[in-house]
Amino acid sequence: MDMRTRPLNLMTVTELEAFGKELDGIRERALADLGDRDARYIREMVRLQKQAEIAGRLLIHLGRSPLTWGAGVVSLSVSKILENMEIGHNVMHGQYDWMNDPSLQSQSYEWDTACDAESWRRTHNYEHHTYTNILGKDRDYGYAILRLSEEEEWKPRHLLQFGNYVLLSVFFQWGVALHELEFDKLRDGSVTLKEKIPFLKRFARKGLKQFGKDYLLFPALAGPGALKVAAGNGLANLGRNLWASTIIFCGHFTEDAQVFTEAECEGESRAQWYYRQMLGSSNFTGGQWLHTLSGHLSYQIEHHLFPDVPAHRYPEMSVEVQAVCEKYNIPYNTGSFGHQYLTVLKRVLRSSLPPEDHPLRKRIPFLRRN
Amino acid sequence: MTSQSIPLQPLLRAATRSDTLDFVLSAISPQFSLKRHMARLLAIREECPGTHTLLLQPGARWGGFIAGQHVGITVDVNGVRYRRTYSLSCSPQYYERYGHITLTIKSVADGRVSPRLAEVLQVGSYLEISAASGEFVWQEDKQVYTERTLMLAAGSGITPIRSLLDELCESRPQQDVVLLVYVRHAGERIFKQWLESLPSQFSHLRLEIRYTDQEGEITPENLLAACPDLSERELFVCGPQGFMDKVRQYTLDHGAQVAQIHQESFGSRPQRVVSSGPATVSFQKSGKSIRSTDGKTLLELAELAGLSPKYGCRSGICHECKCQRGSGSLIHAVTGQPIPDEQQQVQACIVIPDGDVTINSL
Repeated sequence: MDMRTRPLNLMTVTELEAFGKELDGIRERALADLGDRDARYIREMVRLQKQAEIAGRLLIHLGRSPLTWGAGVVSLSVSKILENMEIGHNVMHGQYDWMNDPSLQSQSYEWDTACDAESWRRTHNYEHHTYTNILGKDRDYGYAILRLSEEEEWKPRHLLQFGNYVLLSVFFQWGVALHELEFDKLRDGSVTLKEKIPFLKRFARKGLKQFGKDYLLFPALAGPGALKVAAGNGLANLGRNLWASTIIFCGHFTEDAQVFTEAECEGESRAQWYYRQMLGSSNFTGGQWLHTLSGHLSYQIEHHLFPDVPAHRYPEMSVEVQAVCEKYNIPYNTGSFGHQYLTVLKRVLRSSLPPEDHPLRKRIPFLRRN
Repeated sequence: MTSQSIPLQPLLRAATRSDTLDFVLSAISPQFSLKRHMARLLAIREECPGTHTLLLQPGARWGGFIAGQHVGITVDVNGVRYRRTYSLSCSPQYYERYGHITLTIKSVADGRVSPRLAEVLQVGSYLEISAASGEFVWQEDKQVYTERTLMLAAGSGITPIRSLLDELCESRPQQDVVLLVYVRHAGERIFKQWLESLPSQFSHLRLEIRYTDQEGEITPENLLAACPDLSERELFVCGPQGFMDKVRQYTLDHGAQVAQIHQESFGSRPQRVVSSGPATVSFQKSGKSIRSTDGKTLLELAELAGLSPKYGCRSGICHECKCQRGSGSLIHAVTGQPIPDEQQQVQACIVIPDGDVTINSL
């Protein structure tokens, strides 16, 4: 199967220019309209998140029955999801910098997860958003753990990658926190551990803080109920990890999300960058709750086109983006949440197998195709 | 476990920094916030068309003020948070007595905040105020000048002077004061009743109100005619920058010393200079500066100046290069639009200086 079904140079230079202008226009219209509505929205989210956090922690601490404890876990998990996805991720993209509110500034925001915000801004905002889906440049592509396309060389360890995928999802916040360590590059010797010491210090500081809060401080406050609280906090973190991982995988690793080579992206224009973002991202549909809890990453295409426009505007912007896609005959990758996730799982599994012409294919009976 | 073995202090410090705790406290009452001073807006009074006095009740933690000082207030206009500084127009005694403070604010015709204050602020709501600050205050240690005082106010520059005089009236009503008030015309006169009542409250106060529309602007001659002994008085001057510059020049020419003159800047800041050719970009933190040239971005200029600021995509996507603007205007390299003045954090890779610019964070 060829992931790169659509090369990057199908449009003429004039077409490409006009296409870029149209997207610039969508962006500028949204920015010109920023105001009270956006401020109210994000402050409402912050209020909701804080209420969910307080309710969650109180229920976990004070609840007498498994039912109230369970409700507390769900509430705390929802609070962490809202904080990480709809608030933290979007604020750190600079979506609300124009408000001049010190608590919502991209460069000083720190979020409720193991990953140090400074490290995130570098690896995510810069590397991932600039080099989206470029093999070898976008380190979010498979997180240097998973093989997700035929373009990448197959190795026997990939046979077990589904297990790695599950592990990555379970410990997602720690995986993200350690992303900047570049474990793969350490292994092949292109970076040394010594160069990573400043990062490791930041990682340790933030990681300890998060661990201390959920597994030492709050349990200690509960006295004899410490175990109950630690377990509840752990489950809330697990829920957030699985959710965040699932949403993020649906954004770039669905069946039709494309990958690119460094060579074809060299010296690309702003319009070409837009074009690549469209081909490399995928959306999913669902109710308002799903969009909110995904931090509007359900509109991953719009997020990648306009990463610093307030995310709650993506639904209305997507109408215009789809019209542009239709006009220039560009695929707009969307589908139901369930369907898109199923294609992700298929892709993880299929890419774990050796390519068709690999000798292993002939030796293992169930890999043989008729 | 003894109480000493529990790290109470760091825990308490962490707790006071916690956003969640502040959220809970603010939900009980905005004035319980440990992070911000919230004042309740009790009333808005119109002094004259375009000038309003806000009557505010600060929380218990607010530290009070000295007569003549100013406070910052934070106002949201269409989602954007603005901070503006206004002089207090009441005395500290008034605050001690009633627990209220007053700010008198004149609308700046093309301002983003002041013309909309009356519409944006709602009586009964809370707004964030800063601690009071400012040096436009009685200088207790310089006894030689405090014997006699000359006060000059232009337009809304009367506000801190009202605060100073209200205090003086309580502590030294025998003080020799000359108060010269400059307003365009009678319709723009604020604190009318207060001004009328002043002479009866002081034993040695002379008040003159000049209407500049009829009598013309301040001149060295009419200033000296109104106050022949000005070089022997302590001077308090408050008004638009142009007014204060003139007064300063005239009084220095008449033998006043720099140390005698206290002034408080008022009104809108000077209009920005439209760029004509290259200008200078100054980086405050490193102390470096560079001449800006033909459309180079702030990031490129910083690098040319020998700095190595943080950056990522260099094309306006990732916001890694955000830096803090001190002053000056900037334009967006792609759209050509000016970056709004209130936006302090700017993306260095995608803005071009338009005239002289200072950057605080580099």
